[in-house]
Formats: sequence, C-alpha cells, structure tokens
Amino acid sequence: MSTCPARTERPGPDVAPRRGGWTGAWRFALAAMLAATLAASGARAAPAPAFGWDDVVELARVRAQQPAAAAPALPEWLVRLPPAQWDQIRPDPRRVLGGAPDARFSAQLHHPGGLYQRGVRVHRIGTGGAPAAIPFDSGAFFYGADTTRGPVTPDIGYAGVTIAWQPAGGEARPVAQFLGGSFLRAGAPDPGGGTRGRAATLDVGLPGGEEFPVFTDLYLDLGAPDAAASVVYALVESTRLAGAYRFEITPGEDHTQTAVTAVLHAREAVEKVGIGALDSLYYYGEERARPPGEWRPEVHAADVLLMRGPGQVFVARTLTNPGQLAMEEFAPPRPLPYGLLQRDRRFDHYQDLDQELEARPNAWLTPGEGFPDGTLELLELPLGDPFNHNVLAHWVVDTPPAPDRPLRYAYTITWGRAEPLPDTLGRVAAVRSAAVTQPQPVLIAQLDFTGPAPAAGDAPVRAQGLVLEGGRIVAHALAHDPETGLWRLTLRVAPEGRRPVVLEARLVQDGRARTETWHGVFGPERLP
Amino acid sequence: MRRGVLLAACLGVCAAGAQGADFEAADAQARALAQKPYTPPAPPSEALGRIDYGQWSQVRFVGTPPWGTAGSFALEPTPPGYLYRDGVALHLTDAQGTRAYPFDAALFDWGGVKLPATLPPATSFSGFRILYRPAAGAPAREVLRFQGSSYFRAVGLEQSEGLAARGLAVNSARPGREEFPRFTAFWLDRPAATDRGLTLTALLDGPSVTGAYAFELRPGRDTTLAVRARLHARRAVENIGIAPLGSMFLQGEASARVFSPLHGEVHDSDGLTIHLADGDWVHRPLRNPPRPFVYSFSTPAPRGFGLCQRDRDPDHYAAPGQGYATRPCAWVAPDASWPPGHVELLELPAASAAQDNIAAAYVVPGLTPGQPLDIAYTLHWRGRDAPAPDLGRVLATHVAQREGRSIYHVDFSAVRTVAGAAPDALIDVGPGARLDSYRVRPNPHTGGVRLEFEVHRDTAEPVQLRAFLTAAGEVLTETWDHVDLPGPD
Repeated sequence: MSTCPARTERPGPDVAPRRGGWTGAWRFALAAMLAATLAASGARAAPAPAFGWDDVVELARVRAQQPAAAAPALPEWLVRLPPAQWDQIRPDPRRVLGGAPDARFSAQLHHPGGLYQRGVRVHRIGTGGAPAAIPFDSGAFFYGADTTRGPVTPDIGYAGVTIAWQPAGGEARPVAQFLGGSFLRAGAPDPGGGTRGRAATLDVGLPGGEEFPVFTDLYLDLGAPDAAASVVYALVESTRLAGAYRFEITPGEDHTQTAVTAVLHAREAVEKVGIGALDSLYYYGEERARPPGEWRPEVHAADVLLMRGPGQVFVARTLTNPGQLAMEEFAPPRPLPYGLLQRDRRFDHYQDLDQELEARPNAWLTPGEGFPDGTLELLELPLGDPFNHNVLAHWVVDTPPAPDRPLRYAYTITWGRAEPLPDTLGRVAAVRSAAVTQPQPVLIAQLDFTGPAPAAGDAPVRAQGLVLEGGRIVAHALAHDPETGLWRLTLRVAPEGRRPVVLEARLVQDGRARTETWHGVFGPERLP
Repeated sequence: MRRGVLLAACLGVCAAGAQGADFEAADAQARALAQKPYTPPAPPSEALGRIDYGQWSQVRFVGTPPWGTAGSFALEPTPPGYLYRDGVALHLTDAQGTRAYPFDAALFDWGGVKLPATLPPATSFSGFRILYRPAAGAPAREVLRFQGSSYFRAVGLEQSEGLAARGLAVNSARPGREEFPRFTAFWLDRPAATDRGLTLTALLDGPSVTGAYAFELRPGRDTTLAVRARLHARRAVENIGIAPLGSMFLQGEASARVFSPLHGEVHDSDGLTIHLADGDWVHRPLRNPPRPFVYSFSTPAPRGFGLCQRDRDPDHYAAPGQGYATRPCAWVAPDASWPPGHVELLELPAASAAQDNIAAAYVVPGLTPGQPLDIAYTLHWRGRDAPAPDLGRVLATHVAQREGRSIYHVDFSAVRTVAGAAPDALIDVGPGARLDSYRVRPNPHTGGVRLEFEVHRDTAEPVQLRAFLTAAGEVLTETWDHVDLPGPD
C-alpha cells in the first residue's frame, strides 16, 4: 500500500481538453435509447441512531457559512516522519473499534504522519447524543524500532480509517478504506490499493491550479451486530467547498458496494467541480517496452475507462501513460455509468507477488438520484515511476454549486472483479501499436477483441473503424485466431501532422454490435 | 526390420556396381573426395537467384510423387531459388535398385516466376521434404526437411516448424573462418507402405571436411532422428561443431528492448539445457544480446543438450497463426563415444525474427587428415524439454537493472518436499559482483518457487551467475545459469 500514496499534487495543467469521443460512439449507436436503470440510492439502516445524515448535512451547511477551518497541527516529528517509518507503525489489533465477537463490522484507525500530513477527526456513533471525536492515543499503535517518537496531543486526529467486515463463519477482512485527502478505496476481498474514489475535485486542469477538498471528520456507524451494511458519514472541505457525504458500505463475497449521497456547498463562486471522481495508476502495459529499472511485464492498477452509452453501447477507452499531459472529454446526453477497470487479470502479465496488480478491483460508478448533467473528463499525466496515480476520471458538472445553491446527488460504486460489460458483447483484450516510417509513415494499431466464434451459416463478423482525429485509415485487416478465440483487427492509419490520433473500432455481425466500442488515443510519441 | 530388407536388396543390386544407398558407399565417396581439392558448387543460374522468398515458397511440386501417395511416407523434392541455389543430387533406392532422380523444371508449378528456357546443367533440386501420415486416411504432414547447406528440420506431429539442426559446424563463431559444408547428395530408401520409419544417407562436402551421414527417421508425437556420421578432413581443422542446432530469439520476457511491438515474446527457443556428464542439469535462458557472445560450457561427454521452447502459452506470444507456442525442442542424446569437447552457445544481436541468431553445438578440438571421426547421436524433437526426474525446472527469468544493481526474479516449477526443511537457494556470483540479498518464496500462481535476488556490480564486464534451490543439502532444481551484463538486452 505504501507504494501508492496520495497522488502527487502538481501544478494545474494548462491545456484545452479534447472533445469528441462520444461523437463516434453516437455514430455507432443504432439501438433506440433505452431507459437508464439507475440504482436507487442506498436505503438507510433500520433504527435511526442518535446522530445521522440530517445532522451531517446541517453541520456542512453551517460550515459553508464560515471560512474553512485550519487542520489540527501535527507535531514536527510527525510532519517529518519518513514514509518508510510510517509504514512500520502498526495498529494494535486489540484496539480495533467495534470488535465484538458477533459484530460484522469493525474499524481500524491509521496513524497520522508520513504521507498523511493532515489529520482527520474520527467519531464513533453510539446510541446517545452527539458523537465525540476519538482522541488520538499513541497506545493504540506499535512503532518501528528505529522511530524516534516525540510528544503528541489528543487533538491531532488520525490519517484515516479502514472498515473491516466479517462474513458469517469467515475471517474479518478490510472492505473499505478512507485514507488521505478525500479518497475512498474499497473492494473485495480487500481494498489492496489501486483505483480510488475521490469525494470531489475543484478546478482540475485550470490555469489557476487545483484545489483539493479533504475529509475533515469521519463518523462511523458500524451498525447492529447483524447489519448488512455499515455507514460512514463525512465532512469534506477545501477553501471554497464544504460538503456532507454519506457512504453506505455493503460488502459481499466477490464485491463491495459503496452507495454515496452528497450535499456539496460552495462558499463562493466556483468554476469547475468534478464529482464521482476515480483515480488510478497506469504506468505501462503490453503496448510498450519496460521502462529502465523495471522487471515487471506490466504495471497498472487500471487499464480501461469504460463508459456505458444509451442502450447497450459501451465505449472502452484504453488508458495510457502519455508523453505529455492529456485530457479528453466525453459528453453523453445525460448521466450514465462509467468506471475504471483493471481488466487484465492474468498474474503472468504483472508477475508481482507483493503488489498483486492482477487483483486490483474495478470501480464501476452508477449515477443515482440527483446526479447532475455534465461531462466525463479523463485526465492522464505522464508518469515516470510506479508510485503515483496518474489517471483521473471525473464527472464535471454543467452547473457547479453556488453559495445559494448546493448540489445534492447520489451514486453507487461497485468495487470488485465483476465486469460491467454484458456477456453478449466482446471486449478489447490487448492493444499494441507500431510506428512504421517506410515506405510512408503509418501508425499500425492492433486490437485483439474477444467476440463470437465464427460459425458456418452465421453472418460474417466485420470490423468498423473510424478515425475521429489526426489521420485516416489506409488499410485494415480482421482475422480470427482459433487457438485463443481472439479477433485481431489491424488498422493502418496515415497520421496528419503531429496531432494525437484518435480511433474507434468495434466488431459487428448482421448489423449488430458484437463488441464494445474501443476508443484509443495515440499521442505524438507513438506516431511515426 | 526395414534395414534387413534393404541389405537383402543390396546383395543383388549394390554388388552390380550401382551407387548404393548405403552408408559405406557414401563413406567411400567422402574418403575419396577428401583426397582431392575442394570443388565449390557450379555457379547457379542468375534467374534462380532473383526468386525472392515469397515467390520461392509459392512454387509447388506437381510431379508424380516418387514414393506414391498411399503409404505412410511421401517424398517431395523442393525447387531451387531464393537462397537455395546450389543443387543436391537425389537418388532413389528400392527393391529394383538405385537410380538417380533427375531434376526437371516441369516437376514444379512456378507460379509467377519466369524461368529461362534453358537452365545451367548443374541446376538441381535444392532439397526435399518428407511427409508422414500417422494413420491410414489421416492427412500427411511434413516431418523432416533438408534445405540449404547442411540444414535440416524435423518436428513432432503436434509441433509447428521451428529450430533447425545442421550436419556439421566448422569454425562456427570464428568470424571470417566459418565454413558451411553442404549435403551434396542423398540416397533415399523407399519405405514400405506400412513402415513407420525410414532411412536415408547423405554425402557432405565442404572446403575442409567431407563426410557420410546416415539418418533414421521415426516420426511421432515425439519424432526421433538417429544420426551417424563419419567425417574426413581435407586439411587440419581446429574447430568442429557436432550436432549443431540453430534457432531464433528476438525478444522474451526478460528483454528490455522490443523489436517487434505488435507481438509479445518472439522466439523459436527460449533456453539451452545441458545434462552434464556428472548428472547435473543446467539451464541457460536465451537472450538477444547487444553484441555477439560465445559461451562455453565445459562438460566433456555430456549426457545430452538441446535448445527448447519451454514457454508453451500462446498468450505470451500474441502472434496468431505463427505457432510459437508449439515449436519443437531439439534434444541431442550422444552415443557413448564422443571425444572430449565442450558445449558452445553462440548468441548474435538480431533485429528481426527472420534471422537465426542462436547456435549451439558440441565443439571438439579438430580433425586431422587421414584420421576419420565417427560420431553418433539421436535428435529428439519434442514438445517439452528433456525430462529431469524429481528436479524443479526454470520457468521464467525477469530482471531489472538499477544503479549498478541487477534484480532477478527466477521462477522454478514445483519442487519436491524435504521433511523438515524449507527450500533455500545456493547462488554463485562470479568475479566482479556480489550478492546483496535473496529470498525464496512459494509462487502460488505457478505452484512452484520463486527465487528473488539482487547482485551489486563492481565491474562493467559480464558476470557469471548460477543458482539452484536446495533443502537439507539436497538439490531440488536444475541450475539456472545466466550472464549478467551491465546494460539491458
């Protein structure tokens, strides 16, 4: 986990996003628009405790009337604590919260310091009155032998909290983690790093720089002993934003759901607000040689941004580690599900026994009640090491919250290995490319699709491809490999200038889509 | 069994003075040739040299198959052209005797190739293919091909065509001095319709060496080819490579450089395996090096050696239709009487899969005129490496280089359990580097064991590395053998 700390804060990128991915998808969209099935926001746990959602909403409303409060100050030794020493600090397992023998949910607090320079107040919701923040207690931790400790005060807060779940007759295992910024990780069988959710983004990619809303308070409702879900309420704020969040965490054998309800206030006018943010790591995959110093064949925690269009149109944008910062916008007519997926599940494509990259969860977001109109924006940063997240997908709302107009919305994220694409559609399994200069400059994009096996009497499977930007297709070939069952589509594209080449392709049979629509971007560094 | 029939036939035919499909007769020719100066092959037709590979591979044999089409085996001569311009003389032997099988351009459909009306008289076939039908009614497939200098390729019935063998290597890896003796004539012994094996004899001729070869082919899931040779020197030769194997390694799981970005791994073999005289097993993963390398494995009289394609997962190649995952492994099993020598591995830098950049052979010090050398071995063409009972095998090697350190992850297959002892590793680091740390751990994804270790280099020279797993003093695996280079492959 220590290898994926909080995303490096970088100066705001000054680039104009590219638009148009969905344009192509619409050209492919043949089916009538179907009514979107939006998951209902999570039902509330049965008996109302003494403190609940209405209280958190009210706290956020009041906060929004005031300037953002300063974070509790960490003592100097914790500010300077090297991440490697922070890594050695272990929570005392006997001090787990809610660890009654028959309880399904428990929580473990994380020590502040190292990468986690801002403490968050953690409150336990009981049965009587307003909950109180749990005072920081160094007695709840074991420290590494080479850590020289200094004094602490009880108000410094914690770095965050991990929620564990114990299935009937099973071992307790972590299912959700609030750690750093406004990040949430969840998954099954455990969070294990990888793609994170982020409560809100503000001014990502604008010249003035990004503002980072963070969790200031977490309220834990671990539920009754037999509860199917636990709830974490959170207060989130930055200089200009203040919000109330409710996370209902429902674990299962092979996935975890987090149902999110939010009220987001703006203290002053804000320009660009992103909600439903997901971030992840894409260092390199099968499309390129290993970077110097790396032995693993591939390193990424997600490899595709999947978007569901109207009906059964799915657009899969393969992730890249671009040569320069890249932004792309997808503007569907109304909110639709999207997610960052780690589709490559083969251990031998990563070979890493410690990081278990092949097991990183997918995060699939389904908009819920009030989810506003907006644009899905994908941001990819050039990455030269495997330690920072460099991919952000977030829903940039058309109408940001204003001082007199908070934004209320809900969505659900499903974490786990489940693939949102229906079984009836094939998907892109691998993307490779080559830049050829002779006899003329050509980008060869090679896609391997899963798809229908060719059968006698069936209509032929054909490929549809188009260049959205940056070139034209001069040749293509489609072949089925009976050994692997994959369809290999080879597109030869003559680039026009040094602009990125943006391609879409899919397989059709009898006029019907048999695969998702692949959407790929090849930056100048991949062109001939 | 077939041999008996042949000998019986020879009693009548060979005695009549006809050129016999017989090893002793070929040897007599080889011995006589060795007394005379070398005559290079007559210059081939220019028109044949202009045929490119694409055209050449489209030329089809349309003549009457010399052995018919109904038996287990079929024989098809291959046309001259492309690189294969030097002709070979083919002779057919059957119960009626031995006769020449003369070249005739009309035996082939030349497709788009325009041939001149007359070809030089020396024009002949460039080689031949043996096709085999495993059962009556089953389709026939190529199991053996002789094509170009002394190259030949065999495959098992479930394998794709891959690495090649050669009759002989002379001064291999000695730049400017390598010779390519070639098979100039073959005597092909017609098998009976139901035979499951066949015999053929060949004459080898080159600037320094001549020889007679006998091959016994037995196709199957594993195909075996027994080889017997008697070599004669025209002049003293220092370096003779016995049972040479040639293969291709462009990029693999440990390669930092990618030459073929539309594929995953690209190689016909991924390792050299040696069964040493003392019974130990050594495995050297192959690489595409930044500059030429020659490695010697000093093992007098090895029990065997071979080049193998151990990785049988098509996903790792991502090259549909290319058959990389079903390439044969070739294992050389010597007979008991090989002279002292060493196994030599040659790796050349390659930029494309069209180049065979890997060679392995058993190198003996040389050959003296008047002192013929008898050699015999069996080549096994299999879908897996030679079995090493009870030993874990090397599955994969991954490496990274960072700031003067090399970090290795070597996967071994499952090892036997030794009561009361967990697997540990013995790691031998050659001069110029030292072992920093290591760890042995189970790999639940393979069911085997992973060895992780780091070496710190103090030199810019290549450093020899060896490692194997042990428990309570028992050897659990073959020896992983590698040369650490200061830069990436």
